[in-house]
Amino acid sequence: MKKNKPYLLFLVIFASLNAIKAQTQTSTQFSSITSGKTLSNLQDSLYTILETTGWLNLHIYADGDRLLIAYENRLFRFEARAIKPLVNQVAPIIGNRYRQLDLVVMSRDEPLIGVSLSLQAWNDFQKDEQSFPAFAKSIETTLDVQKNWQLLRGQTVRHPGAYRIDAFLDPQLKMGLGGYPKPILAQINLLPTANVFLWRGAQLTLQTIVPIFNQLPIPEDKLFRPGVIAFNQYLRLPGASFVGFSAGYFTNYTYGAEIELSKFFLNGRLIWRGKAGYTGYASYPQRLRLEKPVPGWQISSLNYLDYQSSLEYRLAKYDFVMKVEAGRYLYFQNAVKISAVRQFKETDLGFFAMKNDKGVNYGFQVSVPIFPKKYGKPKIVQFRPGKAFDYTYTATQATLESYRTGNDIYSFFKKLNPLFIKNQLTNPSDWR
Amino acid sequence: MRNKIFGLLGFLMIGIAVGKLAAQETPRKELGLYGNSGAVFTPSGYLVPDRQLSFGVSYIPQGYTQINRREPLWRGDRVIFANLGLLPFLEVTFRLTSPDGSKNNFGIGDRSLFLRGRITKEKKYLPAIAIGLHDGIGIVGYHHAAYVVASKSWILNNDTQILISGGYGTKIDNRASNTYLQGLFGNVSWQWKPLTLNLEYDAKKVNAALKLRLLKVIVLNAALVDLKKVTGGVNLQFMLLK
Repeated sequence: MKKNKPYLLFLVIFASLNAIKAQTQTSTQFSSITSGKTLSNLQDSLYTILETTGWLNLHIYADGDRLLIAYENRLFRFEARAIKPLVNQVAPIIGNRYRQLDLVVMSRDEPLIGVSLSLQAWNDFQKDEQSFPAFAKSIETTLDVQKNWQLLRGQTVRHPGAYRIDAFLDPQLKMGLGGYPKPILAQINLLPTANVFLWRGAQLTLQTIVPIFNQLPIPEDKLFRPGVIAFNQYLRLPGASFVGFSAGYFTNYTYGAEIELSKFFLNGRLIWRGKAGYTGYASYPQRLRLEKPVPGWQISSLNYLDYQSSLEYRLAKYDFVMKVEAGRYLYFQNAVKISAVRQFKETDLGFFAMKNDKGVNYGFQVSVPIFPKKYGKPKIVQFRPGKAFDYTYTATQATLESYRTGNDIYSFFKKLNPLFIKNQLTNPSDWR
Repeated sequence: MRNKIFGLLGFLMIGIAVGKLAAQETPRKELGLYGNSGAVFTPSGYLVPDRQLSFGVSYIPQGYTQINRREPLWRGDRVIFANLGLLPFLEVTFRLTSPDGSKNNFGIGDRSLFLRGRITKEKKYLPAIAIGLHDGIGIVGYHHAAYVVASKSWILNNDTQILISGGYGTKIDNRASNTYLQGLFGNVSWQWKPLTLNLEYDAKKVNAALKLRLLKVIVLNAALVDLKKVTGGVNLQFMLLK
């Protein structure tokens, strides 16, 4: 009976997802019938220009003297950098017809944050009739996008982002301590990954691990093996809350399912997160540490229940995030972790300290962007390099075992916190 | 040697990728041999500018290292460090010290974290005051020190400044394997154009240094430890983008 449990779980998940998909399809059909009649020629030409440029999931709506545009960026590595050329592209076309431009930034067709600015101030700044600080004053960012989204969601969706594949290559570096004459042992892998965008909020991640260089004493790591193979569905709930669900094969030889809840307060200054996972061990090839790796899967039943809760506070002035996290992690480890990360545009540098059942650990984490800044126009299959190289250094052996689903809500908001975006938009670079 | 050149070029490339050239502040906040802002070993009351990221290497000759390795072939310690103005009021240095010339297995080396926080900014009559905790988190700290330090500068003309720092250090972690800056310490710096001349007392000995800043990014550091042994280092400085 125990052996059947994972299959039952997947069956329930599959049925639920089909229901969500059906609902999404119905709403899309409804919107395509009701929209179209309200679109002016100007809006039509805007749709065409933005679609040609490569923006996805486009919705445009004129509300009095406000022009509303919802879009999804898969053109630029950095979301904040995407907003500036979009505004610079739209503003000259709409001229003096509208006073305000309201953008709704989306990810997987789900609205995340809103950006609003005065078109008059933009015009004055471009003509050198107004200083940049005066224009920057008109820029507002918010998590409260419900009202604008209600107006936009009824419009025709142009250049949809669903049923496309985002294929990229992430580098991975692992290091461990060795003995004489090699005090540091390294492992370098390439992770070819395909994110298949499905319906609203849904994504399938298919990843493999290609070993390039391995000094770590793990014979199995010399082989080509699966990375994250998981389905993820996330949804926006009312009141700046998000729920996410992942199922499949995750990192750290873990398979199972995880549910995640996030609630944003004070426009993203304070964020609460809670997540729980029900997982088991799975490895391909079998992780027996034999000189000649044994092919085939090594799978345990779903044994582990993990749950964590975290609270993070952002010092918006410095893009500095302080976080406290506690809970039960993989293999029933209890831990408390504190971390502080500063975002320097696209580079993140941070420190952490934790106490777990094994002892105390501390270290640093780095995330550096990977060239280039802009990718090609999204096609059905888009190829690009990874967005960032991440590395975490831990000082002691008191490691905390955890897994990543590759799709946590944190990853959406890492560079999309409204306060962080506002700091980026009120920086004069790239506005001209 | 080739690895070291590649390492420095690697840091230079990372710096160019994520930042721009280091800002010029008056007085300049140069780094000591351990990677924190100060003279040779002694810290100053100034913190490095906010968002400034530095990578550097230096060499501590035998007899003046914090780790006595009792190894005949051992000549001294190599120091690799990264220093960051994490916040306008917080400076962080991560440092790795490994033996030079030893064939024994010392592993990756001694890793430590230096944290320095600003208490007051320098005003017309008030000095800049900072507190520091070096090697305060870890299993065995060889560079442990907890201190308070004050600095005051005088601008003589557009090109010349004089900086004076004084502080008191103590030990707050009894698990520490070794300590430094225990007691009163101080330093005097004279800055002229891209040159900085330091003279310090680190609570044990007197040291001197001459620093030369090139192309706004590279700082060459030549030091005379205990006024006897010549040593030095180099560091690269960038401002991380906002």
